[in-house]
Amino acid sequence: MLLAALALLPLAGLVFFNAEMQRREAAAQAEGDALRLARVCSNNEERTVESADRLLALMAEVPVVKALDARACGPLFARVLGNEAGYANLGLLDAQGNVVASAKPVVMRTPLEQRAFFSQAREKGKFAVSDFALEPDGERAEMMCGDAVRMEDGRVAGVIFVELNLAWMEDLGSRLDLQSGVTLSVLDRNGIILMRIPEPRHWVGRSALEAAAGRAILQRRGFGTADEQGMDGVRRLFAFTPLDSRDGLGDFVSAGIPDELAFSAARRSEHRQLVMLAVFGVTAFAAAWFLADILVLRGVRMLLRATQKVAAGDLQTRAGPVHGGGEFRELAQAFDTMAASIEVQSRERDAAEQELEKRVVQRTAELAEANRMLQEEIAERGRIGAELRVSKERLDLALKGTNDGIWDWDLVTGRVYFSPRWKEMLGCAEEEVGDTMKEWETRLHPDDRERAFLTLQEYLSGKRAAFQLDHRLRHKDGSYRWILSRAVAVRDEAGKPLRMAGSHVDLTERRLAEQALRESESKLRVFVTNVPAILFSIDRNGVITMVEGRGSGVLSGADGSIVGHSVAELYGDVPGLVESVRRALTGESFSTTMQLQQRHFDIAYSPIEAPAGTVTGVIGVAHDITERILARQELERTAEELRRSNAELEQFAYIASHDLQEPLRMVASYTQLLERRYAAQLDDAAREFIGYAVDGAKRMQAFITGLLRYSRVGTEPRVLEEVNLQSVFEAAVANLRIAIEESGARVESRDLPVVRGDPRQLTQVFQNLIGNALKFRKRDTPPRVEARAERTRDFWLVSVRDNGIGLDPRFSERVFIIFQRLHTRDECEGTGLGLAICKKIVERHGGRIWVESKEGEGATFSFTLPVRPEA
Amino acid sequence: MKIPKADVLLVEDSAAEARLALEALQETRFPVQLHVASDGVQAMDFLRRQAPYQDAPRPQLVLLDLNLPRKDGREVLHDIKADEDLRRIPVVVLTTSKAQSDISRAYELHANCYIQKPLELDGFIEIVKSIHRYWLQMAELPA
Repeated sequence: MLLAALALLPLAGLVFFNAEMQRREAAAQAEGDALRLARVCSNNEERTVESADRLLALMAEVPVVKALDARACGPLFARVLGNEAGYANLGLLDAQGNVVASAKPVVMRTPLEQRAFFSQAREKGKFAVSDFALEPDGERAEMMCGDAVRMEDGRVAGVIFVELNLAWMEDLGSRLDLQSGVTLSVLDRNGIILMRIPEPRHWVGRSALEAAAGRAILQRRGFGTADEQGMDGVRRLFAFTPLDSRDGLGDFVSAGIPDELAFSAARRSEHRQLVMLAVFGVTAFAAAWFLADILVLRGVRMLLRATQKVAAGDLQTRAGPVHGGGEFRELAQAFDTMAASIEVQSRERDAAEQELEKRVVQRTAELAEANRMLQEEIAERGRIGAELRVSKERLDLALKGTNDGIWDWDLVTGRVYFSPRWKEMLGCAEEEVGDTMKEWETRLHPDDRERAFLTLQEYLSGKRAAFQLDHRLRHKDGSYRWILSRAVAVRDEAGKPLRMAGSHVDLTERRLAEQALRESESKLRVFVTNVPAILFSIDRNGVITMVEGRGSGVLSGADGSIVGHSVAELYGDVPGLVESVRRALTGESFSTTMQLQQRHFDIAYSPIEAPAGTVTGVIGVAHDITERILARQELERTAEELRRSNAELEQFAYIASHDLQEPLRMVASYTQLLERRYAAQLDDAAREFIGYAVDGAKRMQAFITGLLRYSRVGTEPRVLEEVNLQSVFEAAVANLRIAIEESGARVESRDLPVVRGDPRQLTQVFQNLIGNALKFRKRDTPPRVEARAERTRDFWLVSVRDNGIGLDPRFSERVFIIFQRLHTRDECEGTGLGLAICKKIVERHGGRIWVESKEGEGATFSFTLPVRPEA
Repeated sequence: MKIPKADVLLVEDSAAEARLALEALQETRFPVQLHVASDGVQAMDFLRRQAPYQDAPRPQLVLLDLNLPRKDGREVLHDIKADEDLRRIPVVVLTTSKAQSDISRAYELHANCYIQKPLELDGFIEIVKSIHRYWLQMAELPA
């Protein structure tokens, strides 16, 4: 009996041990599931914040945002928010925290300007976040992300923000189709539930510290697992991790799987085994009793048989001689002794036999049971496996959705789980990547290798608080992708890492975009640095915040730069400059010129205005116009000289028309008076001498008059009006009427147009040309003069053709030069001024004049007049 | 019957010019008494009968050169036409200048006529004749 009971003990132990092993395995699996679930959440959140970062960085560069243009921003934000489902709101704050524009009304418990994201974004000028806070209705938690909006000078004009909430977790929950009892919660650092699925409305806002699970999560301040009672009284395996591992905001996400669910398989198996053990035990005891009974009866029967054998006089027995008469008792006693001895021997032998037999039976049953259990376990494993597959598929789905590659490294076994997306990121199919860290190591870019190992080493050893690694991994096509790897490790109590899980984000596109941006910025910088002007900005205190441009070298102070110095300090002695800046700071845009260090500048100021109408600074462009000013001064000097010279010429012209004529008149008149009064006393020679004297005076007068006319063409104010060339022509003919009649000339005109010009001067041109035609006529032929005009695209071409003596083409240029004559005075009268005057008049009208002729075959004088003369 | 001589004031700074005018007048043999003032101040003194011209006759015609010393011909013209007693005396501007500005200015100052002196003697004599015929014979002047 004792032996039977003793035999059961190890068996029971085996059962319990077996159950415990299953339990642990289930716990580890549930823990793994919960951790993955929590990581999915935190990954999703990180990704949301990251894309908010990108969105805000983008929006902060939009011009209307930079300008804090409230009217343009409102619709823009609404449109962007419509396209970005992940955000609850999008808006813009000015530097004081006033809402400039937002996609939706801003209703917040805490004023935005008091939130951390605002002050950080404004002070540090970069992306910043505030942790989740409950909205006034207490039903939802929201989180703010902000980024600085910078003005051209780099100062912060405002903060653009997005509001994130945790509504996506509900989507995630329904997408993952979580089993009943499984929870996902987000807690803030104080244990307030910010989100919980399922039943968010019931739980959000309550403190998780009410439950042991919540206390455990808060206590561990990070990640880990706990098997504790949740707020609803249900015991769960909780796995938790920071919601966003990159900052120390202290929100946690926790996934809980009910123990019931986690251990149900293990517990069922244990229960079954115990029942089996009990049944087996009872059977064993029953068998023992039965066997004992049989043993006694057998002993009796054996004794009887032995006795009978002995009584039958079995020769083999020693009892034969004992059967004699008087010694029965002795014999009996001896027999008893013998029988007892036989019985003991027999019992011992039988017991051993029995034990052996029992053990065989027991072993058989054991084997059968083990076999059955094995079968059951196999079936159970199959079920669990199926469940696991389903849950893994869900996880894969979720991982695919996150677009991040996931890896999960078990440091104990050395096995690594790489998600399909992880592999796809490197161009690999599922089966092309194994399950060890070699897969990662062999793909490392040689230049990143050392740094990557060091980072990993430092994190695993605890030297580094967070694992974040920007590195290149080789794609299947041979190129390298920029990957941002982030991970957290699960450690034992001693801090030894057991497991490390993380994500991969492909930053290659972003890197390329950043590079493109850098290149474009450097191009812009090249432009800004080389623009032939000075670009500057001044803040509201009159301090210069930027000076750029090729001309800016002129402004550099002794120490090299003027940035950071105030205008008053640098240029207080420059008349009007400080006042100009002050004027621009009142909001006025204007241009002014200024002299600075012997250079002249044309400076355009324009204020930078915040939407509230306050001026936050001034930007401006200064052009160095020193050369222009000097040129203008030179031009003015020349113009002044010209005016003076013209005035002198006028004076000369007057003198010529009056004072020079008087002496000539005296010479001519008195010589003639002499001839008149003393004719009787004079001989022919004297009269001839008088004739030469008078003629000389007359010619002198003609020269003076011609010169006067010639000079007046250039000095007379130019009066352009609509001139009918036909009328002008007729006026010229009328002036020459006597000469025309005397020579019997025929003068005609055809198709003369209306042009813009000075009628008196144009009359002069015709008069001189016709006059020349009459003067240089053939001796025996009556002169014919014809004027006609034809139009080209831009000019009227007017020709005056005669049938006179013509001229040698060699002289066709020379005839237009002043005082150049082709004929002696004896051949033809003339001052050599007529054509020079014509040339000057035509050129003054924007045309040119030339002659085509052959000696003896007449001449054609042509001149052009612009159809649309310049003003 | 002896026709009373007409009094004509010639304002001319050049003695040669004045003499030539006199000679030209002689050639015409018109009964004209030519008085000569050699500058604007003298001319005004003559017209206003101020010393030494207390006994000067009131001329029927003034022949005025423009460019004069001391007082310019234009000023003389202005003073005559501004003076109630003198403004009715016809003033003929007789000058070598053909400048448009001089011509315009003279008429603006109410000159009665503007004549340019020609280069040759015959032309001048012809002009003197014309002036005489027109202003002293044809035209009726206020008494």
